[in-house]
Amino acid sequence: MTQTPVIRLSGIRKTFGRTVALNGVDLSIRPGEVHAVVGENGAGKSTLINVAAGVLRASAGTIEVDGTPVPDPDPVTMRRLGLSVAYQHPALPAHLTVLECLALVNPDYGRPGGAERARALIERVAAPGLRMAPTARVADLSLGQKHVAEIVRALASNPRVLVLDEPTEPFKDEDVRALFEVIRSLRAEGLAIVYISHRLNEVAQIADTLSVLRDGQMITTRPAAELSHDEVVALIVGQSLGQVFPSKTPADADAAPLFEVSGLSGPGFRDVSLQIRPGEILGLAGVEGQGQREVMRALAGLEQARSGRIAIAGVPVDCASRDSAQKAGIGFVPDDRHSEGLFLSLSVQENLGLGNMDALAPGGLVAGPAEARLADRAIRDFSIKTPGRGTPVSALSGGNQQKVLIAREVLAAPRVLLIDEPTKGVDIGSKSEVYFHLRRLAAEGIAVLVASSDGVELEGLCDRVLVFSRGQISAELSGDQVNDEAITAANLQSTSRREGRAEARRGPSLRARIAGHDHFPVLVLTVLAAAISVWASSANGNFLSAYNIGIFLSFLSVLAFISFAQLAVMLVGEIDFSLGPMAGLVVVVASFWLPDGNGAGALGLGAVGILALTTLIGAVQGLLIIWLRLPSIVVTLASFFGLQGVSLLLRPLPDGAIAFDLSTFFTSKLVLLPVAAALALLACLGFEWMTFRSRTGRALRAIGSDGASAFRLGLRRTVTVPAVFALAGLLTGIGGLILAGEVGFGSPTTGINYSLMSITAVVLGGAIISGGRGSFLATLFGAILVQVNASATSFLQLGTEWQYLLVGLSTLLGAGFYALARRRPA
Amino acid sequence: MTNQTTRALSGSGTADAADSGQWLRAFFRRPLGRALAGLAALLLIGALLEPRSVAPAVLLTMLPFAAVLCVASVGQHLVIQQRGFDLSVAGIMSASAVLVTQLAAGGGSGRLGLAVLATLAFGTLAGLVNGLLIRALRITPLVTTIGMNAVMLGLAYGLSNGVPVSAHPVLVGLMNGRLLGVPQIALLALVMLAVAVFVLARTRMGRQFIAVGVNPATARALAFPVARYQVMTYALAGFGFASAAILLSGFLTTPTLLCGVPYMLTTVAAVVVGGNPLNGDKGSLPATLIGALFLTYLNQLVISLGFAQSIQNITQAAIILLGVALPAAFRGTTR
Repeated sequence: MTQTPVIRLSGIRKTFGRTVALNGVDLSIRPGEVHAVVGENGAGKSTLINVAAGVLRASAGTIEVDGTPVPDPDPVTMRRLGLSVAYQHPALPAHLTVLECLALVNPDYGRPGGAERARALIERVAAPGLRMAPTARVADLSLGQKHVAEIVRALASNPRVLVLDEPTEPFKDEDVRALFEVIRSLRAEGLAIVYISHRLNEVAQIADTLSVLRDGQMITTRPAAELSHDEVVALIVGQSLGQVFPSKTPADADAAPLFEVSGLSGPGFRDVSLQIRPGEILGLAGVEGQGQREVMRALAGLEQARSGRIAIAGVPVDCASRDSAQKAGIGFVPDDRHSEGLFLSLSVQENLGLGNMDALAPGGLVAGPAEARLADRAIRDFSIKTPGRGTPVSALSGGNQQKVLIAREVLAAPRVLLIDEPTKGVDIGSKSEVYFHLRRLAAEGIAVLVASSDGVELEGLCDRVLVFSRGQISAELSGDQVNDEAITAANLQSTSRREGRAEARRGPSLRARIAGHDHFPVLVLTVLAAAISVWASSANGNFLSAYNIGIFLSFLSVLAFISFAQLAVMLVGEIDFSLGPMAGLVVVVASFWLPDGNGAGALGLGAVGILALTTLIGAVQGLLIIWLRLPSIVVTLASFFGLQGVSLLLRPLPDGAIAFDLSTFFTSKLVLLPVAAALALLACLGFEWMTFRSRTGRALRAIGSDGASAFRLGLRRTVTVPAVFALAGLLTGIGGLILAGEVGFGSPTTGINYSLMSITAVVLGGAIISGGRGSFLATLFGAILVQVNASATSFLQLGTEWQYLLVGLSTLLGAGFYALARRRPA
Repeated sequence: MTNQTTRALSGSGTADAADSGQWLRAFFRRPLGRALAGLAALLLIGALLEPRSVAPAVLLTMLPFAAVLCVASVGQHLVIQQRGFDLSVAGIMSASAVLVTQLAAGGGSGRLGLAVLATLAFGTLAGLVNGLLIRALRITPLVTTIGMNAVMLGLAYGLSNGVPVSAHPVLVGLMNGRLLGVPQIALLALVMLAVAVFVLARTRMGRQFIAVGVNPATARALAFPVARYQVMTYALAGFGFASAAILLSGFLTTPTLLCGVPYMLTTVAAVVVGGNPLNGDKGSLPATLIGALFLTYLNQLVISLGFAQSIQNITQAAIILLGVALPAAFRGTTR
């Protein structure tokens, strides 16, 4: 134990607004030992890990690696220094394969032989039931497999410190045993392992050293062997803080239950039965994810229960939807008041009113004075401290926000009140007030059901407590048994057998595999393009003439380059509406910089200048999106019109011949194809290779899939997005030069339609519009179909309407078709 | 506890001196306050550069354009309030203008009435399709409305055979007439805006609509019909675009085939310049009206200073960026 720590955190403090998550935490991790960190929910375990991994920046304190301070910890730095985290919520971008995720953290896995190494690592970590092929897509994995993949991903960077955050959550016993074997062998190899868990029996099996975290403070760090189970529980729970609770009134055990649930089963819970008698407050306990929250939500009508009976005062009620549950008189206070409880930017009065529309607006019109009176009453009755009823809820303290939320539900006069985490993030004074309100409600005859991860709270507030473990009620505590020690002990000793949650998901069906393949659109698009060509040439034999094909290829090359630009932007989850006018601007600028009669050298210089210009425009747009945190559509819609304005300013009327050599160059034959088409094909194949085989491509797709996971893997959207927009500018510049060659003079209004056409081509190519997935090859075929449509309509003189209709309809049909084809059964 | 609350509300300002400052800050924190300040500043600059541009007679001639933009922008405002963008405004307006002129051509005022109703139904239906595609198939609003825009532009060409038709004389008279010296078209727009403001502020539907935009998850937990609101948003927007097209057709007498195209940018710009949030938070319809007036006056000013169309495009692009960037920067410093 005298070895120098590999990593040492000292005095780590982390605050979120007014909440102190970590307060001066020290932690030293030594090689060759398993160091467990235990604590209740909200003790600060995950925050500590995120600080160590460089995902969160500490408010104060230092991180040292091998005795040297790390001045600027970020995910990449910490990974290079040898720290790797398998997160509780896996940091795996959904659209990548497992192998690609590994290659993101260790390029070796992207080289030949990487798949074999990945397979070996998967086999080492996982029992046979949870193994997966390295080429499996993350989105297709089961929860258990995702956790295996996450551990494999953490090991792939060959760390010296491996952090496992609740790694066994979805595992069965044999999977846990397999993982522990791996941990022991890694320890023997000299790795330092940080093991975070709330399962004390598992911790006791594996830990050498044990640290206890409570309320953001490190309570103790001792050799695990020195601590008995009961001592650990006592350390985790700590002394109760003299919280003031209302006195409990003994319920009449013989009274008919107000609220009764029997045999309720649903997603995440099974065969749950409970009763609440008049005057009683019933508590639900359990560590995170044992089904208690799902039961609450099912009773509220926000999750679907599969079977079971729910009755209020003996009368069965329907909780199939929130609406019916609410009508039956079930009020619900969700655990996260910011995301699901309140409308933060709306006023106190609006929030209270929105929960009581039936009373305030019986005929559809909101009675303003009644709403104000309601708000005043709530503010008085619940002693909500607010400057006025018009103050936005976001300006109140956490405790007063919670009081607004509870008041909103209580004012609707529920018969049953479900409260998930009644005092999360609430200050001590307000906590007591909330408790007294709940006790008063129970006394008034409302059935109160409380779920909480705070044992002290359940002890002080509840008459009875049901403990959940793996979706079932594992213990019922009543009378003197309702105390923090007993609840925590029952929570931590989850001994019930792990069952049935960790099956490997069966791979997608053959049909789904074909429809979900990145190149499936190529097949569909080829058939459609061929059909239209046959039809067009049967109507007019010249459609397939060499001359017409030559023109077709030129315009296809223009569209292909601009579509590649659009796809690059869409891969990272953005959109660029300005590409069309940008291509148009190239035509205008070419009429100045590439005039007829210049030599090849001047021509080349001008072309390079134009490409530099469009690259710069793209980069500026990307930087604006990042700096101003604007949606890309706002920025690029502005430049859509701005660039048209610049074109009109430079060439109010079509004028200025563009060097004929430009057109000659692009249409001259290279092997079989004109230069323009050959360049487009080369770009397509190059980018296709890059997307699927290179580190850059993987990084782009990871960022587009899931920005938060990508950040934890050390990828930076703030750098990538401007770079991608710059690339889009460059590609559009090339497309614009080809277009300039075809147009031949400075026309200010060409090119605008390419914005829409490029989006259509990308959509037809089957890219996922929200980012993360797409193929340049399939996009090329999308461009072919769009251009075949355009050629056929103009060749057959079908009229302008058909150009628009075909492009618009194929966008909608294509997007709709792929959306349906990829929808997986729930 | 009390200390914390008041500190949170007043920033770090000292109590006495900050009283008027606070009122001002509260004024500028509201979209309407910022938009009014922006419009006043622009009018001042306009008065200095070209005094005639702020003469009442000149301002009155500008109102019809502002009225059309305002009505279309209300549709865009509703969509942005639900965290989307509707780029089909260009197509729906163009097709609606063709429809209302074609259907009423050569008939009496009864026929005009039917044409107007049919056009409004058409716009609403197009919007409804947008909403259904977005909600049921989860296609992003941008791609859906871009596709719909092309379909609508195609219809505008197809229905007209490429030849614009003049609007019904009664419609032309209505939209060019004045009541007590004020253009009737502007009064119409004002009535429509007032109805929208009332519905949003005073009805259960309007309240729930705003709430769905602010936080769909909370709205779901309160059993609001979230999906229905999200779909109906686009239908309402379509209705707004069709209404704007009817006003425009009557005012222009012979609307061009692509008369809706400029509105793709300007409706977004009016909402943004009005200082409305893009993240679903509650905005202000009157602020969008001010945004529409701002942009219309800016255009007039640019033209009266002798600049071409191209400069308008560039200034509008710059204004839209500044319009979003300045409030963002403002919020950044006060936080």
